[in-house]
Amino acid sequence: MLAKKNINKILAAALEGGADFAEIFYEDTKRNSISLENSKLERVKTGYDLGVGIRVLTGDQVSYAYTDDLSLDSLLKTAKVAGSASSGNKQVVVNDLTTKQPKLIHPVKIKPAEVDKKKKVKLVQDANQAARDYDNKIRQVMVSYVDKDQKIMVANSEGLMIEDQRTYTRMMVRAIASDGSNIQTGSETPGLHQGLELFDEYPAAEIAKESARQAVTMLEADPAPSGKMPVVINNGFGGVLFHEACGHGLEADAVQKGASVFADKVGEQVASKLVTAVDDATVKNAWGSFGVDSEGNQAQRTVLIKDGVLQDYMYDKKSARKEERASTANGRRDSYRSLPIPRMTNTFIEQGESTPDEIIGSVDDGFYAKKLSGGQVEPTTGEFVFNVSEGYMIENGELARPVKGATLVGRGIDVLKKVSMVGNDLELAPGMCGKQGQSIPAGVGQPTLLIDNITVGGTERKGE
Amino acid sequence: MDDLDLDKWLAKAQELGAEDVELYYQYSESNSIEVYEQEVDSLESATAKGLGVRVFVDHKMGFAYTSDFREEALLEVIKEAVANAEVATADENRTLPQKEYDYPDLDIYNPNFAERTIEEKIDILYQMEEEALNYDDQIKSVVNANYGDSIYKITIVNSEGLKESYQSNSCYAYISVIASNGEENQTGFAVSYGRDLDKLTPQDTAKEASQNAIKLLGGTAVESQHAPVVFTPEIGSMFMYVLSQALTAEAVQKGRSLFADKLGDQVAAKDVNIIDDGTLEEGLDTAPFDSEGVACQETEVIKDGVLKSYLYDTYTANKEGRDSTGNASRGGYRGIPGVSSTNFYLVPGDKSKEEIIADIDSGFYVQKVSGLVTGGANPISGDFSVGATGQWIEDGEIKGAVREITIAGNLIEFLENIVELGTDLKFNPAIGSFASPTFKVKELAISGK
Repeated sequence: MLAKKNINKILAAALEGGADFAEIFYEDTKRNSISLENSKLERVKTGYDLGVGIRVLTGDQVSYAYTDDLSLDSLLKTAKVAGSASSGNKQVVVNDLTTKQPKLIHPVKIKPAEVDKKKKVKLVQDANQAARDYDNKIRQVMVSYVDKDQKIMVANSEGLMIEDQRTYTRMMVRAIASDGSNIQTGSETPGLHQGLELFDEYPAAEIAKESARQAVTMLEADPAPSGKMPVVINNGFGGVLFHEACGHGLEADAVQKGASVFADKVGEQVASKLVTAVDDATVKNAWGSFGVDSEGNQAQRTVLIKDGVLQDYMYDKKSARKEERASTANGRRDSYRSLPIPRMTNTFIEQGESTPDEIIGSVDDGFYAKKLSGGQVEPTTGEFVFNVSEGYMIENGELARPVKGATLVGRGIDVLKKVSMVGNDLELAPGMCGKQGQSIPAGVGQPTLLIDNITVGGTERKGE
Repeated sequence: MDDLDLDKWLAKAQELGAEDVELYYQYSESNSIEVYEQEVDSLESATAKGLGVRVFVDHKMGFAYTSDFREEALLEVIKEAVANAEVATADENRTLPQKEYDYPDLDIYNPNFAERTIEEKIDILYQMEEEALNYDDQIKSVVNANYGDSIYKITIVNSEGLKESYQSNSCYAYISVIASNGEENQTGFAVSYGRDLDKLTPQDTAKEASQNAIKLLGGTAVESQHAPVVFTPEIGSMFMYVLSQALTAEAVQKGRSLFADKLGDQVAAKDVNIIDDGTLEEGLDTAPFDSEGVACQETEVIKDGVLKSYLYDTYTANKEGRDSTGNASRGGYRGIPGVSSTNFYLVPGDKSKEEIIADIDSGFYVQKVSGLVTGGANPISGDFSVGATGQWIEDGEIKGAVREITIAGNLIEFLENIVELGTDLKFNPAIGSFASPTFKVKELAISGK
């Protein structure tokens, strides 16, 4: 860690160019990953990332420099590089640094660094075996285990100095089933901001079985139809649709550039009255949670949409300064190599009152998206295409045959208005969110939702 | 930059239990700039270094990396790599490259580039943004005007006696704009790149991005149908990306490829040639040697429609008792080498874009797709279904914009139905180093209204 008196010097050096704010971000991260395919442990990897990023703000302008050489000489040089890009003429003095603590601690019981490599390997092998034992149609299994222990320190010229430690553990199991002619995959990927106690809640074998179940189930699936219909989206990872198609449009940088359909709409009805959506970094041990964000702000819960009315956007320091308001603690970065930008933490639709059975029961003829996989969104318009990896037709209020190859196509803001039932089964799920080349852990989530009318794009083609 | 005695650490790793060792050292200097409304919005600069350590113990491979070059940190990273090897599964095909290579002499480093000033770089963005804003009243805003560059040096040493380095540099500028007709918005993107600033074309790039947005305004839906589809180089190159994934020996050997067991088969129309060329100087993925130190080369993947070769690294080549094609790749020092394409492209034909369009009675000219590179194509079955926007062609002329449709098909059928190839080969650096000319596919399923 850096000594306080050196931090003072570095911040002062960064301000020499006339900037009005300077900040140091220190990171010391250790990560492990173990990957298995074909029952072979092929990729066993450890990584150490140690470095410092120095950011300088001058009005709306930001400049940034980073280094992995932590000698005082190198840090002073890096600070000067960041500071020299400033076009300001302020004479800001570094405030006395006051060490603060995160208010919220996400407890870690079984620290990854204290667990023997062989135990982690065993978890991976157990998952592989469980998936293969599930059904003889399982032809291939891929298992990954990852853990990451990230210690950070943020200090800035306003006198803030704070540390945080983020520990992440995750397992990913992908199972491929085949009946000879047809191949389907299943995927299950739980992860939490905690240690290996993750596996108390999600035993490796159970993760594997669920993945295998999806693959085997989808072997029986018919090609999905195309057309507009009512769609029920399952809880948990189904929330990725909201994250991608709406959440990114609620990040303040997109809003300020006019690159969001939600710009200038605070106070307006942007969604069905049933929709309340929040971004909440305080959910204990959730994948997207933290103690403080990467600008040193205490984790908070921000209501984005309440009863369908747009309340607020997600801000980092830079976008908040632009509007002379406070950050919402959404300044995140993937490492010391990157600038903080407004990012979601755990972003989800709050739960409603209907049971999942009531929701499915209300649909005569529609589609149930039990599991979504990848997707793509045009950020400016919120137009999206999501792939449904496990889907079913709904007939007379009941789940009917599984269908494969379905996509959901639409616009985020349209979908929000068409939410007509909200379940009482809120669940969060982990994802890695990419933006401007930075990949960070983000929690997505929702209860079961009914969307009145949305385009299902199928692959049913001539001759099939 | 020669602050690390690689030979010493190689010996140390062997002392700590590694039978074979490879050290991959990377040093880079990079800059990125973003301009917004004729002001510098952000400016980033970095010098970075790192070491990737790959060790082999009893045919088991372990890997670790670090950016921390203090003695004790280097010692720990080597110990971790050895410990990782110990828990891995033994596989006799896991070896370092065994051959000696003649490396191509490539012009991929421009020594003058280091002299370019930050002001010159910023000015490119000013020009580019201004050109876009003045291009047409329908251009509502410029969402991004970004510049980036890097100068980097790679050194690989291994216990087979390899010790090689190269230096390279590149720069790029891209812009994305929003066009509006009052009712709807469309975005347009364009990019240019090279090894010096004079290769960047701010005015042309801005015009191209603006046109890309404007031409999609006022799009209407079309009826579901089967129709010919014309691909732009941008979209064609995205399909090349998807195909490249299925054409690595890794995907084939692991049963993850629609091209498995198809070597020597006619998998595409006769006019289709696909090449992977790690020595192409104008490409962005060009180097004398790959991530394991194997010489880069030109590989004919599909020739006259016949599948000729997959792409190999040392491991996948060992498995088949053949030579690597120099396609080992890692995402910098933090990555374990895997197999991936280098500069991968569909060889151009002899038609102009206009000729290809003029030949169509009724068809779709696809300008944008969504979902393709994020799982919209199944690498095993080859089935794909992607959202698309573009223009409709009628009686050989572009009639108007089309939106919210999906195009679906199978990658093999797609390749078999490529009937006309343009001369306008163009790399799409936004997704790696993939290129295609404009081309026509005889028929694809379009689902619209």
